Amino acid sequence: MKHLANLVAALLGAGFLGAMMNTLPDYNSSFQPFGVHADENGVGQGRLFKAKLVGLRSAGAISYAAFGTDVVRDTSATFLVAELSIGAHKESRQIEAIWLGATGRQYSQTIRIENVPHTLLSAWFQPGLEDTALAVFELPDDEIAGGTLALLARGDPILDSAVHFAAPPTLPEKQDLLRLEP
Amino acid sequence: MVRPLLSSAFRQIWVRIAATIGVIAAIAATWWMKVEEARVPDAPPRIAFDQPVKVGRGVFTPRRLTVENTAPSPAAGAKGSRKLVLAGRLENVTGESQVAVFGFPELLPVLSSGGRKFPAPQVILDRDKEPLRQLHPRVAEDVSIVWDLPENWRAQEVAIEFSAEQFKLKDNLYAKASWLMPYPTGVLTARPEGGA
Amino acid sequence: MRHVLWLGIALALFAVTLVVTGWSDFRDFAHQREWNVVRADAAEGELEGLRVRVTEAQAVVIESRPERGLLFVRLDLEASSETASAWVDCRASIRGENGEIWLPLYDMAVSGVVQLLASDNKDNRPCNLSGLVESGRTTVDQLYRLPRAALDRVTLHISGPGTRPSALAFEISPNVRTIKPEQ
Repeated sequence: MKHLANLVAALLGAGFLGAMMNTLPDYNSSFQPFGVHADENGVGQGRLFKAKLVGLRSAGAISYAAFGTDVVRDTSATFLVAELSIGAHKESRQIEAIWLGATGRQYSQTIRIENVPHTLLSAWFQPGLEDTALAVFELPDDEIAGGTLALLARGDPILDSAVHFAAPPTLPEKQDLLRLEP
Repeated sequence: MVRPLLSSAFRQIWVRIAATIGVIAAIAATWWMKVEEARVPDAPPRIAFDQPVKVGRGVFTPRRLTVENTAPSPAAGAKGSRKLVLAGRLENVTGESQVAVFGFPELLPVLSSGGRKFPAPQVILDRDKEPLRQLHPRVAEDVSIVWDLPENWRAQEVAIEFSAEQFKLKDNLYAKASWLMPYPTGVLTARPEGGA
Repeated sequence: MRHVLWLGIALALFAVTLVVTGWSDFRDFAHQREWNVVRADAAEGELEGLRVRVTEAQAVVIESRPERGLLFVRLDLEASSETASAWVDCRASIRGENGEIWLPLYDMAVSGVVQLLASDNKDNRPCNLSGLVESGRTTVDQLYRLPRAALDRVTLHISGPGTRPSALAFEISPNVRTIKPEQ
């Protein structure tokens, strides 16, 4: 009788342990920045910065001048350009942008388009000043509709906030060639 | 007097039998694991052109292997030397944009010919004629993998070994999603076109 | 009674674990913040063996954008190479009245602006201690971008990973000029 009671106790313990192990949120879901949604005016308040999504443009190719030479980049997908207005709260910061596609995939900014004036890849944002910046993504067409733009301070995102901007219901018309001017 | 003695001897025998069964089970299990290991072939499969092969964190479909006198990009390799160019299509099959399509640390294809190994190649994005630095999921790109060829190298059959990283949703350290444990995925054996 | 004793031991061990694991986190945190501010009386001050002198502080406002300004600060640093290696690195930040922190700019256009504002038209790059290791003296140039309103009362903080949470602070009242953008 006593052996049976011990066996039941051991089994129950193992059962509880297994249940705990299987319901514990894993690293990937616990160490995510907190999502903050932009308000109806398109303004999002992060912990370290404030950002506004001014507009979205899409194109099949992008041209710009870098160090005095003209560069043209084309793509088999679509270039999506997000125009942003960002100001840091307390400390000079760099901001990173991610496009969360309609299928759930995460797209970083394309580094094929760099050295563009006001690119988010190299911009610094200062407390008390709002500056415009461009984030350029290279996305398959079906990732744009239903996607979300997320902005987060560069560095360690753990316990920080990420500002989410829902894509507008009407998407920008795709241009053949978009010129990025300084 | 006899009874308790007998029962204690009996118990000792049981304990020994249990221990013996345990040891035998452990030996049998390890032996079977070795057998299983031996049943999996060591050599990676041979692949052909137009047949996709896993590389790093993506999938590569080789199309052509050529010897070229000029590099597909000025950024590729040493100036003036002949190049061995493996052209193909590369796709990122992960859920996020990768700066390390060939894994981290980078697992570039390994070229060998006539018992000789070559230095690591450079991967050129054909669209920009510049080194490939990033690849987005579902945006497959044509790339050229470029090796410098030594002066005295004569066109002959070459072997190119590919390897990939394994995705673990929960790694053993933090239970976070990681790409780990490189393993060979295939060997392409071919004679390059062109070149003297 | 025995149970209480065990509970007490468990609690004490828990507290010890908290302190031991928290201490290194606290040290990491302290190496990033500056809460022990040493104020320099004049344009010259010393912190942990490193002498700092503010030699130039110039600010410009471009006429077409009157709400923002550029601040240029030149520092002379003097220390032995041992002190420099104890500092590890150097961070020169500008603090506002409400605790804002402006870090120096690093982009490509900075060098040109610094050359324009510096008295000798030279750019010596932002704060770094490599010059101290060679000669014991070095000059560094910082450029900041901040609101015009904040320019009148700013504090310059200089610290290194080896000194933080201690930092050396200078009150700065830059000479503000308004310039017309180049045509």
